[in-house]
Amino acid sequence: MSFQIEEVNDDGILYYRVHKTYIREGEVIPGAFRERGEGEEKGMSCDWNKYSSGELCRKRAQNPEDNGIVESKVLPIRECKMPVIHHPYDDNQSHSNVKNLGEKLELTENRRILIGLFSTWTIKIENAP
Amino acid sequence: MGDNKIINMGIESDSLKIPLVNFGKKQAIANASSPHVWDIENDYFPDSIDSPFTVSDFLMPKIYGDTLPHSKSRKESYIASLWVAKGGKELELDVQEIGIFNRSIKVEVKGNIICEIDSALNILEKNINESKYILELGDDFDGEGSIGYSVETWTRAILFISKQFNYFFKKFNIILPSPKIFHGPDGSIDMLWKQNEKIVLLNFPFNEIEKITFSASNANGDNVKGYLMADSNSDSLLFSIASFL
Repeated sequence: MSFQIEEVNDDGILYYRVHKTYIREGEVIPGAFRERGEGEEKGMSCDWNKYSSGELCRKRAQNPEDNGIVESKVLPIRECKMPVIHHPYDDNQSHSNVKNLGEKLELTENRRILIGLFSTWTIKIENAP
Repeated sequence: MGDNKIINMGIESDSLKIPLVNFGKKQAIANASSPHVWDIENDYFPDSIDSPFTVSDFLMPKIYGDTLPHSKSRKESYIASLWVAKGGKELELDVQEIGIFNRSIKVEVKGNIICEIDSALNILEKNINESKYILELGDDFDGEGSIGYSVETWTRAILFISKQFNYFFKKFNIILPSPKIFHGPDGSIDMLWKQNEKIVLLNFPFNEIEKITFSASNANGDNVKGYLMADSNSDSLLFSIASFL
């Protein structure tokens, strides 16, 4: 079953899994915010709140108990030149990508800083270092 | 030596002369940014001081001569604080006990010494040691398919930052705020300075032919970004970091 691609609304919320290794002294490190995949698939993989929740996002992890969830509104991300694109999978209608996060030659380190600043905990992980 | 003061320290047969030089606000700020300097848990805060000093009250010693190293370490700060506490009167200290002869710190990984840094840069050393956790992160460490981190990348990053800090300290007598060192995207290493609402992030790439990139942001949305090569002597970058924070 294929889901239709939709326009992610500006006041939507994105959920993002943060593995415990990306948490140091209780804070999410900038390295947590990273793109995965290649070509059209490339992007920071998030779940859109229209079709997901923080808890559902967490359950999609290989080991949910090793992951926390942070959330961020869509608009401030877009305002920082990072498009948010709905990219549903057959088993996850909410899946969306934040683009242009990791282009080395475009000097995007500040975007990782900004996403970190926009993000707040939805589900905080207890067993992080 | 102008208005420098002299402390005679009784050590065995010789007295070492230590002129105290006021380095002014610049040096005081550099030290204030390293909170551990005044951490009571460390043994650098002497019992004989009744009330805590503020850094701005502080005279930083500079040590001359062949016997003692020419550097400004926390241990030298300890001597200066004792001297100030006693109203600038003659002071006797067991220099061996204080350990003032420890001039450099060796940075090791897996039994190999990869570099030495001046003992004054001990906060950097602490942060480097804390970053060794990165070397334990193998492929798929996060369950999302991320690649692991190589000793070579970590070592190149540490050599780079150590070289820059040593250079800056020796050339300008300033101890820069030390970054926290974390694992970055795609096998790269991040160096993060965070102070109040100011953030500097420097990314050291997995691939050694790629450039090191950095970005500095503050609460007003001001942003500075750029890149450099690992073999450059980038005092301009470090000046930027020091002035930004």
